[in-house]
Amino acid sequence: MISNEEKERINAISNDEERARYIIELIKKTKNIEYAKCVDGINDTFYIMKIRSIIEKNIESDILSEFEQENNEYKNILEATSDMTEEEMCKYISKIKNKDIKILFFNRVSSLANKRIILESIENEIDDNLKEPVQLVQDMIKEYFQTNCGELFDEKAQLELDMVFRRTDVAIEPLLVPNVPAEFAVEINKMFVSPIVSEYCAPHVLLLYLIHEYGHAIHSKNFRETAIFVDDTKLLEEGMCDTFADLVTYLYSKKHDNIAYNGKKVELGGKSIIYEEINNHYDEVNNLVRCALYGLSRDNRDSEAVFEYFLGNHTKFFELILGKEYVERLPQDFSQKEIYIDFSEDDIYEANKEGFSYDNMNTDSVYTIRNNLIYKLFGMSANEKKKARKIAKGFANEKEVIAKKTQARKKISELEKTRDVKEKSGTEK
Amino acid sequence: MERDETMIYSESDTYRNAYVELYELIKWLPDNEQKKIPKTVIENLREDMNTNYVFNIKEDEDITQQNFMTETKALFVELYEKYLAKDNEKEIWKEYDRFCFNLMENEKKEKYNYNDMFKNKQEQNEKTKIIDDNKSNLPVEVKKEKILIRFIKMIKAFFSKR
Repeated sequence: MISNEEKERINAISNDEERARYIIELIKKTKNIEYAKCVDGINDTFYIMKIRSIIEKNIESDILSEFEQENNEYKNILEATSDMTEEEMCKYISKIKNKDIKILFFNRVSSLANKRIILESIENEIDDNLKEPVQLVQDMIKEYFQTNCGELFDEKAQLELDMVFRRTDVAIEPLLVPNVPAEFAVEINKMFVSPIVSEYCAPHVLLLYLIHEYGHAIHSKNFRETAIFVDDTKLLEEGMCDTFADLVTYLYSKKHDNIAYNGKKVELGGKSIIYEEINNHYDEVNNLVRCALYGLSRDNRDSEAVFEYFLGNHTKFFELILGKEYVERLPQDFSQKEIYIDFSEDDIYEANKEGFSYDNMNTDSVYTIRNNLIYKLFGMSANEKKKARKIAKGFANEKEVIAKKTQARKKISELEKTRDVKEKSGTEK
Repeated sequence: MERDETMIYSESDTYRNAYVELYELIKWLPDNEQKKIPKTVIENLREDMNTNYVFNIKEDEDITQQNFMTETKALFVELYEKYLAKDNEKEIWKEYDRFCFNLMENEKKEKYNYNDMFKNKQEQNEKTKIIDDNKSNLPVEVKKEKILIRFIKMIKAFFSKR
């Protein structure tokens, strides 16, 4: 645990470089890796990246000297490029070796043409056995956004997605945490796949895990992995990445036959493969995410929400799934490392009631398969529908109402008539 | 201004107040039900309602038990029939309307006794007296009451199946 006094001391340092140096010194002195999470308030992504990369390092090594060395390199680049045009700067950056710094500048540059100069200079390392499935998964993800997101998936978004694909290394390595089949380490842009998954699981399982991990990589494309917790315990990100994997595979299976990699045929028949194949810990948050997206699916806004979550804007994502009024009440700044939002299926229902109408219920969807929670929302919708009938039935039984009914018919007929402007203004007078 | 039970309102005032209550009731319905009601009806309702009359639906009380005016209730039933009822309910509501209409017609006939309107006053008075005497023996009322109960049972049976 980090004491509040220490947090205050860190926050009191306004200069990003000094604050980063202070945090790294603290980690070195106390051996407490928790300090690596104290990046809120730092604006320069380079320093966020350097602090957080320590999580992946051996803290017994000389982390402070390493920081100083990389910091000098960074400051030299800043100095060397300070008088250059953006294009000249991008050409200069494309020639340096440090991949992290290339990514930093890619995110800072505004012109798409200049972003492309940096992008094309980046190369990733992918295990030979994973080259084909990784290429297939990248095509599948791109096709999902191209097919479903229309104009939202513009050139800038495509470049950002390409950058995630170009920069992310993918390796087969036994994972430290038992039973974890794959992992994405945001600090080092690297995806790890367990040998068990790559060698022994059915071919489609590897694809699902890769898409899930790419979900994390896309979401944290700016070195900021914003962990959004629902109800203090459920990590929204996991539900989003699982659902993303199902959506991507389902779309691809509908459009393509003979899917294969490394000479293995891939069966992608199911609509919710990740649910069916994997008995994971994310069922609750999976259900919640799928309810939220189902509520938007009636008018195809679900894909918009998926886009906003992964490649767009968190505020817009929450506005879609919870409504603008709900988001206005949220005090959180979505750039923080950890965000806690309390919302439940009731809030999801309130925001998009019409999406859960029994009249156009679709049980044959990625969102409804094995999702018990969604039936609660369908039930809520059915009860709401009965409201009007219950009232009408109650009133119609009253003798006094029967006596007034013919008159009521005349009154409603009068209200149905369109009135011209003159008549209206006359009434107003 | 809230409704004063002791006050006598003109028919127009009564309906202007009923429109306020009806408008509140419509707002209370789910959005997708509200959307089924034509905008013209809502606009005209807002235009014609008594803006000085206040009616608030109590969220914590059963909606059917709130103190709506009879006119409001009849207006809502009409609105439901026209715009909110499902197709398979339409027939029963037609039947309900026929019943309401016939009941009112019968009452009018009794009240004004159209057939004897042009006979001399004395004859008319005598006839009225006979009807009143008959009424005191309750044959018409009892018959009417039976029809009403039967009809209410029919409506209840229809809806309880759903």
